[in-house]
Amino acid sequence: MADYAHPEALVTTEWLQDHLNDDNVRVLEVDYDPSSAYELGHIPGSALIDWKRDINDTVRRDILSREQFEAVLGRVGATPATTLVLYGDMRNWFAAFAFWTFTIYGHTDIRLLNGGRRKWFEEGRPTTEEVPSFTRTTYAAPEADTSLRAFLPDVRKVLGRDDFNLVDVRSPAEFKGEISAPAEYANEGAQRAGHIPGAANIPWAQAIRDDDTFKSVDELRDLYAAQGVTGDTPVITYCRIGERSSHTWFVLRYLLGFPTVSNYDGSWSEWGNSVGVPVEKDVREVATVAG
Amino acid sequence: MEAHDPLGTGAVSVPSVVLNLGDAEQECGDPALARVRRAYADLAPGQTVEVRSPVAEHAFAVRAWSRREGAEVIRDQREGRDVVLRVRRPA
Repeated sequence: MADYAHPEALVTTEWLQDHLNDDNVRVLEVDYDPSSAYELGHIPGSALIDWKRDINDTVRRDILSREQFEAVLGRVGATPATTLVLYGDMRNWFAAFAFWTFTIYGHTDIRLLNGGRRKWFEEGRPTTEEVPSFTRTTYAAPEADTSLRAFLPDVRKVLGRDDFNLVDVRSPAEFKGEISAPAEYANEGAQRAGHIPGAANIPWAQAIRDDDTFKSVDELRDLYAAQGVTGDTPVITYCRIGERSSHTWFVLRYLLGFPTVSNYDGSWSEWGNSVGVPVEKDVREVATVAG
Repeated sequence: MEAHDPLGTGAVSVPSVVLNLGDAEQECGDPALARVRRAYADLAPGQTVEVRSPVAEHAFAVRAWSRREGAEVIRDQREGRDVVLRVRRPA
């Protein structure tokens, strides 16, 4: 991990087990479906962050507000100086989404558990059903850093420009417009299937190994460079609702150290439902650099 | 399919449904356990669902959920890369 641009943004399962009783470390399990994960067993001392309820506005489509963020962090007894270790269900996608939103609201010491919940269980490390309680704190966050977030007009502005990279992290079938959303996710469907013109398709899972830990920095650099994504120009990542693309946002910003990376969380569920925006289905050929 | 009784409970049965969760959570779809819940919900009393997965987290979830649900795990063993769990709806 030492070769990553920001190795401090990752912790190993060993490190976390050694720090479970560290008062300055707050472990947060970020779940899409707590009833399939946290409620059945979790890392001792970890608090639940319910992605739908805690990270999103439950009425309008938006991420949590600054006030909601302050309430969530206060609920788990955190201060701006607390080390937050995030992990979660569904391959760490939603933990990465929380990492992204917490970074937007200025928390500086956030770390992702490399390999996530899946690796913790694979290694037979301790789990519990006990829910911890914390003394509530008053957490004050700065204004949101909106440079980390792309909105639909931001994406429209960069269409056809070669000084931006759009990275679509969905599966090739989604990228080619063969599928839009799984049947069980009716509210994530789109009127049109395909991808944003000019986007490179680099599925999120290509950044990880079989045990869900991240590939080496050299492997990652080669993976993205092969599609022309080198960090020399700003990058916008997207998927269907912005959680898989948060995973790739984390890779590009913290592991490869690209200076300007934003996540378009509206993603395909917004773009594919919008009137008048261009949609592409063809897969472009990308010349790779030899050597 | 061959019936098994590895726990010696006499609870031999042939699964009504077989779920392979090896490809679950590759893309943004249902959590693995949600598939098991759906299959289990369709079972008649005495019927079983067989769950196969190489992911320890999946096996953990099926065992823990079965305990909460009152479902009977009548088979729990490793076959190659997979853990195979057979879960029966009580009669």
